Amino acid sequence: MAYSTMRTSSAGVMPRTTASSRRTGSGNKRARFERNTNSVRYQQQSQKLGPVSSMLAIGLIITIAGLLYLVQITKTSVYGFEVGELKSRQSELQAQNETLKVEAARLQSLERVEGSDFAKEFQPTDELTFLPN
Amino acid sequence: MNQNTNQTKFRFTLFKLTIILVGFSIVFRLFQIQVLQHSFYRVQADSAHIKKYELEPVRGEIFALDGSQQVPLVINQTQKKLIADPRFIDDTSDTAKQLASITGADEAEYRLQLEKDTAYVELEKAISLEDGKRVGELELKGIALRDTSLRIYPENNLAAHVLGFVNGEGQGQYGVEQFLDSELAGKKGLLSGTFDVRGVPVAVADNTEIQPVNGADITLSIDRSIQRKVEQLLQSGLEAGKSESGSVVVMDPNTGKVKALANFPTYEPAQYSQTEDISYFTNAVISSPYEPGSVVKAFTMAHGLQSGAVLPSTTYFDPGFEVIDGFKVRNAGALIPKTRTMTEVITKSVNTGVINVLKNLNGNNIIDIDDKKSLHGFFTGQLGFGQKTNIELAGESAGVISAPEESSDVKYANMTFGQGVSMNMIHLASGLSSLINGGNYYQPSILQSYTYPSGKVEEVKPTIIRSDVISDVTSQQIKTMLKTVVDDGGGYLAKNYGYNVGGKTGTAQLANPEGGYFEDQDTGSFFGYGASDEQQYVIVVRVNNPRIGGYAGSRAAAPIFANISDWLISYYGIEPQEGVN
Repeated sequence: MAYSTMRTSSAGVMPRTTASSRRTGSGNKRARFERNTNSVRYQQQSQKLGPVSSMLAIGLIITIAGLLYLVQITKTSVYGFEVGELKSRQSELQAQNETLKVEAARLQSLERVEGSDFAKEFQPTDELTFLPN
Repeated sequence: MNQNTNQTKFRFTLFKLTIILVGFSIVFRLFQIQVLQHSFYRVQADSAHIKKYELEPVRGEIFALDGSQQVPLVINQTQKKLIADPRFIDDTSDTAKQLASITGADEAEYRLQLEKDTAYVELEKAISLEDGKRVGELELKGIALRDTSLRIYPENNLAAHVLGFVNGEGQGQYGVEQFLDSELAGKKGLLSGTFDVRGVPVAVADNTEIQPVNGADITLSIDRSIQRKVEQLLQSGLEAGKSESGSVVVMDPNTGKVKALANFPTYEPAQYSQTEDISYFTNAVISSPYEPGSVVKAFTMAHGLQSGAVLPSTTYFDPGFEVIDGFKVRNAGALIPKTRTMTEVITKSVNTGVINVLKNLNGNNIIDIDDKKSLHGFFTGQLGFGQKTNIELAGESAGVISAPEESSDVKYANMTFGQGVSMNMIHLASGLSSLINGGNYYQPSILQSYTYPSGKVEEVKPTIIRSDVISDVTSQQIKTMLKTVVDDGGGYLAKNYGYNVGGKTGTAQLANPEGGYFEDQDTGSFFGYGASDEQQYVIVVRVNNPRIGGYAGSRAAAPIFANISDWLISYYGIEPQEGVN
C-alpha cells in the first residue's frame, strides 16, 4: 500500500495523508488500510536558525538592551542633575524669601515705627473721650 | 655556529622566564589587592563617594501678638559663614585685602587670622548672601563659605528674657528657646548614598534620604505693644527710684496668660556673647524668688475671709506690736495703737492685723499648729507657693515655704506679711489673679499657640487648675479692700477716677545670702489689678534696692504700677464707670 507524501509550497505547512487502518488478521506485520478513508491534517514544521544567525540575533538583542540601558542611565543622570539644579535654585529663592521676610519684619518693628517721621508728628494726649456706642 | 644557537636558545628561555615571572608578579599583586585586601580597598573607595550627611531641620520661629495679629520676634535667615584654611593661602595680605574690601571688616585682623598655623579659621560668623556671592567669585585659594542659619530679632532686645537665645551648638538657652528647645529644634534628617566628585548625590545610586522634621513655630501670649511700653516704663521707673534692677509681669487674670514680662538690666539676644555680665541672662521674674513683703497680706486676708475667721468689718485692737516666741514683731511705720478693721489692715498695711487673722483661723486667738497648717495649706494647696508654676520658661525657681511642723510661731507670724517666705513673681501674679477673678487659679502660661510644619495650629487654651481658691463673695471683698490701698493708702499714685484699680504695696528687707537681712537694702513691690468690674489686667512690680526715701513699695514700685495701669486703660480702651470714685 503506497502512501504519497506531498510537499506543498505554502509556508512550511505540509499535508500528510494518513489512512485509518484496521488490523485484519494476526501475523500481518503491515497494517492494512481501507481505502477511501483518508483524511488530511496539517502539522507545523519547526524552522531552525543556523548558529551564525543565532549569535547575531543574541548580539543584536544585547546591543539594543545595552543601548536602552545607557539611554536610560543618561536620562536619569540628566534628570538628577536637573533636580540638583532646581533644588539649588529653590534654596536660593528660599534664602531670598527669608531676606525679604527679615526686611519686612524690621520695617514693621515698633522701634522703627516709633522713630518714623509720621509717628514723630503725633502729640501725646492727656484726656480721653469715649464716644457713645 | 652550534654554540651560537645554544646561546640564543638560552637567552630566549631566559626572556620567557622573565616574562612569566613578571606576569606572575602582576597576577599575584592583583590577587593580593583584589582578593586578599578586598575589604580594605572597598572601604577606601566607598569612603570617597559614599557619604552620610545629617540634614538640619529649620528651627521654629517665635511670634508675639499685637492685638490679634502675629508679629515676629525671632525669625531665621540663611547667611554665609566665611572660613579659611590658612595652609592653602600663599599671599595672606592680598587675600585679607580682597576679603576686607567686600565684608568691610578690618584687613589687618583678617591677615592675623590667616597667618595662624591651623587648618581652620572662622573669619566671619555670618555675611549676607550677596557678599557671599562676591567672595565666591574671587575664587580665592583656601577660602570657603558655608551656609549658616541665624536667629534674627527684628524687635532687637524686646522680651529678651522671655525669648532666651540659641548658642553656637544650636541649643536653646534661657527663656522659651530653652524650655521648648525640642519643639523648636525639630528632628534631624539623614542623607546617605553615593555622591559625585562635586558632592552631588548620584541619582541612580541606592540613596537613603530621611527628610528632617522642621521645628514648630510658637506664638507667645505676649502683646508686643504692652511689652514694649512695660519695658520703657520699668526702665524710667527704676531711674526715678534710683534702682539698678527690677522686674514687671502683666497677666490677664481671666486666662492666666502673660501679656508682658520684663527685667532690667537686659541684653541683646543677637549679641548674647558680648553681654558683659551673664547674670543679665537671668529671668529674675521666675528665677530669683524673693520675700515680697506686705503684698502677701492680700493672700493672708483672703484666707481669713474665706475661712470665716474675719470679715472686712471685723475689728481688733492694734497695740503696734505683737510678742511671739519672745520676739517683738512691730508694725512698719508710726501707726498709733488703736482699734482697726480688717479693711484698714489692708489699707494701712498693718502687720499685727494679719497676725491677728492667723491667730483666729481656728478661732482661739493664739497661733497654734492648726492655724499654721491652715495658712500653709492655703498658700501651698490653693496658691501653689513653694512649687514651680510650670510656666513655659526655663530656670523657674519654686521658692520656699516652711512646713508648719518645722517652723516656729514667729516664723509663721512673719509669713503673714511676706517675710520668711519666698516666691517668684509668677506666683504673685497667678495668686492675685485667682483672688480677683472669683477664685479660679489658671495655669500661668506664656504660650498662645503652636504652628506645626504641616500647617496644623494647636491653641494653648487657658486651663483652670483650681476653681475654689476663694468664693465669689470673698473675691469681691478682697477686691474692695485692695481698692482702698489705691484710694487711701500707699498705692495712691495709681488712682484713676472712674476705674476700679486696686493693689497692695510691699516693702521687705533684702535677704542676705549669708543669712539674715541687709539693714539698708529693701525690695519694693506693688501688685494690683484694673480697671473695671471685668478686671482686664494684673500687674506685679518689683524694684530692688531703690535709693530714695520712704517705703520702697509705695515710693519706687507703685509709680511704675500706676504708669503701666494708666497706659493699659487707654491701650485697652476701657471706658470709665459712672459711680466709681
